Amino acid sequence: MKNKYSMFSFDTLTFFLIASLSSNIGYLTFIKDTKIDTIFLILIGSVLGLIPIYIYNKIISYNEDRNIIENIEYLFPKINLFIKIILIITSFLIMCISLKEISSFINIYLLKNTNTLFISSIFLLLVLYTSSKGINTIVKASTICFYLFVFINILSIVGTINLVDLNNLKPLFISNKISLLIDSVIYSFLSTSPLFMLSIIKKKDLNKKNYLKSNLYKTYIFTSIFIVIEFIFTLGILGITLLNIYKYPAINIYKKISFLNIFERVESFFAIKFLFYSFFLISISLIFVLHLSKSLLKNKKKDNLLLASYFLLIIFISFFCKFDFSIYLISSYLLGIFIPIIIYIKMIILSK
Amino acid sequence: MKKILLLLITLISSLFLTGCINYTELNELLVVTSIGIDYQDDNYIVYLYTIDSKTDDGSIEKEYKTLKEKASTISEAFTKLYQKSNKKIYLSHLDLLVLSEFTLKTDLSKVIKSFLYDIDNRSSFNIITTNNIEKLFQVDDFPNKVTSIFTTNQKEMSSYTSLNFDTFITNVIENNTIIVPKITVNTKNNNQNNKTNNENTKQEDEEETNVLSEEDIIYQESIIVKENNIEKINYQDVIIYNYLTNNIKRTTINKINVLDNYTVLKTENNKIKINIISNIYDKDQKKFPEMLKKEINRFLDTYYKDKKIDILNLEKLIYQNHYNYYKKYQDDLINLLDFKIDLKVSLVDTEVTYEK
Repeated sequence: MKNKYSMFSFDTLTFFLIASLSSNIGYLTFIKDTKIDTIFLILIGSVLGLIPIYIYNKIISYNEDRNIIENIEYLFPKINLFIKIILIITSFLIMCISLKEISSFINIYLLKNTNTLFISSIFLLLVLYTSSKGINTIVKASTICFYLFVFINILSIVGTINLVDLNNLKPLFISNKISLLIDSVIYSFLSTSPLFMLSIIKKKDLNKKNYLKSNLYKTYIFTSIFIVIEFIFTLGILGITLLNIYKYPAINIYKKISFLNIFERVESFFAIKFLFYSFFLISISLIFVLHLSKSLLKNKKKDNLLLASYFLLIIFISFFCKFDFSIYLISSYLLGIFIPIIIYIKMIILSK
Repeated sequence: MKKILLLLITLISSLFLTGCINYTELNELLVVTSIGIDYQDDNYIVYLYTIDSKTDDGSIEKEYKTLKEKASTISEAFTKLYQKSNKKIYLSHLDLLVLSEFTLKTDLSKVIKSFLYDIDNRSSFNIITTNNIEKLFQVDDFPNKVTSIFTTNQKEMSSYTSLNFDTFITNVIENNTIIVPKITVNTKNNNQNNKTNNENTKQEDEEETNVLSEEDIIYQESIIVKENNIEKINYQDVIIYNYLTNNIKRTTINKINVLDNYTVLKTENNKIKINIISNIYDKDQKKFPEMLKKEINRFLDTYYKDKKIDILNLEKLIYQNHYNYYKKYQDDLINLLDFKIDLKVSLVDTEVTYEK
């Protein structure tokens, strides 16, 4: 009998996927336009993000015995190939961009003299190995990492709370309202699009599956509040000017942490939370792509060959290709909004 | 088979991912505690004050060394210093950045850029200026001595305003007024000593002029930097500045001791309300309020009316709190500022009361 995933483990995985935006392109991309009003951008974007969450919940709950691939094959008997290819390409691109970002982060801050290609390869090997064990392993890993994540965040808050200057949170309401609204919409699907990949899990495999809907909303709201508080902290300590300069402002804040002049120079330890975000995003993306590829090839025996080919392809694309923010945006839009809406509309049509 | 393969991969990765490639021996690192940047004849002169340790009969001795290079850009000077020393320049222990007055008049963004790309530095180092960088860097262990001068000043007189790198970057980019504490290197005492001591040989004379001690570095004033212009601000004005920016611990103004202070600056469009609560001795309560208000008014008139320098960065405060008003009047804001001082005195009883 297959083990069911606990709701708490599912929630921790959901948390990491939503918060992964801050380690990839990051919500700091919006700061140049919306400046301090980015606080409202995250709040409005989080409210708008409840719409895609509603659609994902409906898709996962459509049939308890089917995952997203089986649902697509059932709902779109003629064009399911086309939809699967779009999903493979978009999640693949998100994976490559995330891998490139985390590799360059590790190279800049942790392993200065190590080649980025080597860092990407080792990180990806870890992801491949974990993904080859199935979603169960990733879900369990997210639970363990969550406890460490909470510990790191409590320490960082305690170590930096005295550095917050509330004057850095002013002035508010000065950015263009239309650009704020547009950026909020963009933020909403950037933060929620990785959750669509969780539809690879069948609802019947979840423990306490009836709580899926409420848990999804609760986790999303909790994560959004966490991101807002984190942003307020970062802005309060550094100010908008320094936030525009540093690519990873959190690291500069962690450099200031000092407990009793003994516990110092701990930014490398705190940087691990960015690794968590990227690890779970890339793992889930890889599992999603693998399941889609297997359904296309219709041959389950070629798992290792698929893994090996994807390994080489991801490394090649993430290392040699240059990615723009717009590619991440379009991929997230197609993965998180366009395809789910089409599936949802078809579900409604069929139910009538 | 799989486990063996995994073990092999883990072992190989442990060689590369534990930072072993990054490993540098301590004696191959140039540990820099202070950097000086001077600007003369369109060239930057970069000084590095380094610390090294050597064991001598079981005890560890510190060895201080100053390196100097001249180049058209700061990064070129750093490259030359690296080539000269043949060691990796390590800025993780950087405590002090000394900028000459000439450097303060140049494009400061070039100074900022040379430190921003270095990941090792902590951004928490302090920035000062001096009248003679070369002489300052000859004083043994001067970064610690400068730090102790400032700490004593701050605790006893509150006549020092610290400036760290993050604040420096923010003020340069936002074009705010920057106040840089100045260390004066006093070489006059040394020259006088040499004139009176006729028994010294010529070589001894030369050695004496080069040796400076802790007594030769003093803190008397700070420098205001605004838009590549510099202006001096004396000791007394720095105390008033600290008063208005809530940085007073203990101080003495016109022979009256202030034991503690709390200042709040509130803005209401162009009206600036300064609320001050000072702790003083009972005996001073009659003359203190008038004296302090007079000093503050003199300070505000000097910098805001006469010199037109927004020394307290009130324009930024108005920008943060009253954006619409700031947007309307930003070009002429300094002339529109209207100050109101509200001073409350809190008395501290003394043990001894003496009445004639």
